[in-house]
Amino acid sequence: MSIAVRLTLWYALSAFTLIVVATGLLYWVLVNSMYQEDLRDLADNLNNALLLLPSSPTAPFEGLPEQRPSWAPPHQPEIYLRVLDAGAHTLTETPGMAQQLPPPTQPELAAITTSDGTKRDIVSPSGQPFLSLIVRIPGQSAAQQLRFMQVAMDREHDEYLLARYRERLWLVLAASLVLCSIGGYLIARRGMRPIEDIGRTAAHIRATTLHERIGTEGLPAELSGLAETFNEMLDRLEQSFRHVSQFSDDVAHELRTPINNLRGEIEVALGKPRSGEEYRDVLGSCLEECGRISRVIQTLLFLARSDTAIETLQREKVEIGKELRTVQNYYEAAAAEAGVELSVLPGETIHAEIDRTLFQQAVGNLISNSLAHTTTGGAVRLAARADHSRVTVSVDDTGCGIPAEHLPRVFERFYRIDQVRRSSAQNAGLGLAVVKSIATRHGGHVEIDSEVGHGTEVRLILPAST
Amino acid sequence: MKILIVEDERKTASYLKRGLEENGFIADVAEDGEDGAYLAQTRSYDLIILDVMLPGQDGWSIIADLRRRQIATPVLFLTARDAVDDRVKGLELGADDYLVKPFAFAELLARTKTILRRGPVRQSQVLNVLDLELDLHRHRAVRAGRSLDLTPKEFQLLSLLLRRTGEVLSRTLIAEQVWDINFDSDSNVVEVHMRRLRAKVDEPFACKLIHTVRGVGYVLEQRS
Repeated sequence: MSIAVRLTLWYALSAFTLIVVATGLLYWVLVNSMYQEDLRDLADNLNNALLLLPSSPTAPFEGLPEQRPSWAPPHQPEIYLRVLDAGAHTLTETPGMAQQLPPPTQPELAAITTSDGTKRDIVSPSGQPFLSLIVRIPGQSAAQQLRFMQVAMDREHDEYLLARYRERLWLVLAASLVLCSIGGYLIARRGMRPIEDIGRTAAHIRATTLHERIGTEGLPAELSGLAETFNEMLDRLEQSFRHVSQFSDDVAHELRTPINNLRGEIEVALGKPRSGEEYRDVLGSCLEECGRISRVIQTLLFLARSDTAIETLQREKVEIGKELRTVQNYYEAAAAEAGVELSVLPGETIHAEIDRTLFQQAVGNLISNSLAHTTTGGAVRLAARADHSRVTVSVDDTGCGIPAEHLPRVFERFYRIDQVRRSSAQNAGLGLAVVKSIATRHGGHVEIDSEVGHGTEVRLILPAST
Repeated sequence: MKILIVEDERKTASYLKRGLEENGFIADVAEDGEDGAYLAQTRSYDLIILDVMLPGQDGWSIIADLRRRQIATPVLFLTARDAVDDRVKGLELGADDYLVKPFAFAELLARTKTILRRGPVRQSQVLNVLDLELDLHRHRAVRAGRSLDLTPKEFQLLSLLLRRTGEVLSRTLIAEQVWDINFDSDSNVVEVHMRRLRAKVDEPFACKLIHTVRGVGYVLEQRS
């Protein structure tokens, strides 16, 4: 069931219930007050009759009301009066009363002991409702002289009025049910409209219209939060999308260059007959380009897989210092050739559970980067220290440094400080991205500090155990 | 030595066959999974080079079938997917090794030879090619009667080249064997080491022993 329908039902149901309860209450109050009014009326009549009642039972009774005259207004209820002795014999009564109201029986009269009177609702043989009041006539001593007076009132008119009132009430209730439903539906629709607006906006956002946002102005507080969340999601999507397309551009460029070289070299080589030596040379060069392409693909796949984190690490217990020396050994010749001193600073023995190959690669990439930016006579120092549950490996060089504005972005894929792309395969701009990815996959991170002209320090911070 | 190549990509299959045959192997090619499975089960081979993604029947189910039938022919997987789970799966199914595409042919050849060598080969304590002599036991290298002053890593590098005389060794393999570096470093680090080694082993002598095979790696052999 849709929210709008549900809301409509709830609105209609609660409003209608309220109306039913209110009308019911009013009706009850009306019935009650009409009854009390009648009762008061009856009591007044009774008192008047008592005043007029002669002391002798046989004397004529002047207070006896006449049969209702034909000109009497209809709302004036008819009053009947009857005087009875203790034996329940009628002494005198309003003419015609016997047909409407049979006299009370003797036990009924005997039960009346006080002079307050006993009220009773009676339905006449012809079906008319009556309200009757019987009292013992006061001021008598002898049992034989005990007399009772009964006054009765025809309530048919009251009943008629109430029946009319009830009929109207049903009409009002039926109408209010319809109105409540319509009102509820309109309110629900009005409440839902902003949600529909959000839905509509969201529905037509495509890759090409990712810059569009949901308007938050005029939205109720509950929904503006939702809309903002939506917009933040769109921000992230847009950013990722821009990343991906930037990435594809870079990939295409990165692959286009070596493939172009390959193609050109082969075309030229096949252009005229050559010596075996020349062919061998061309083939060798082609093979080198292929190696370059393969490596770019491998690195990109590595980074792509890191993003989705589907590959688990091959963790093993590793002594950090030993691994640093292994990598240092490997790069030693290259450093010596560049006239740079590459050393591992002595430190405590630190063990960590990490992926050994990836750790070597991260450190290797950092060293390679440092060597590329450090001139003859400089130094690259590796160090490791442990604090709490983390291992910090730093690679510190005395190289040319990185201008501050580039620092936040150097770990991005294909980011180069000098925008001129270098032809050498080493410098595809992926090395630091790989380092960052390795750190992230270990649950760690990388930090970089640099001062132009003085050098750069990159710290690889990894948790020591899982 | 007979090798079965199960590979649906014709160009790959054809250069593998030619390359292996030029290196003294006999190679059969099956172009889909069903043919491959049939040949592997009915004929006897010393090694099966198996692509994972194949039409008909994939490489994994082929090796699973073979092992179920108690056929223990060594299997070298070729795969374009190098996710660790894939590698583990291949090795668990009973493959002996795997290579991720794109790979260097020299790498394939080296691994093929390793698998076929079966068990440790007795290594002599003294290796020599032409006038170069390496005493592994005493850690001494001598060329033309002159003792060579090598660092321990240089000695290790030279002994690797000598042990596999005539075999082209890739940079990755050298880094792995000598420096215990397992990642595919894309720098020219090995080249520098090689240059330094050559300066000591080859430069002072007329006959060069260490040769660069462009785009592939290095080989130590006597060339006329």
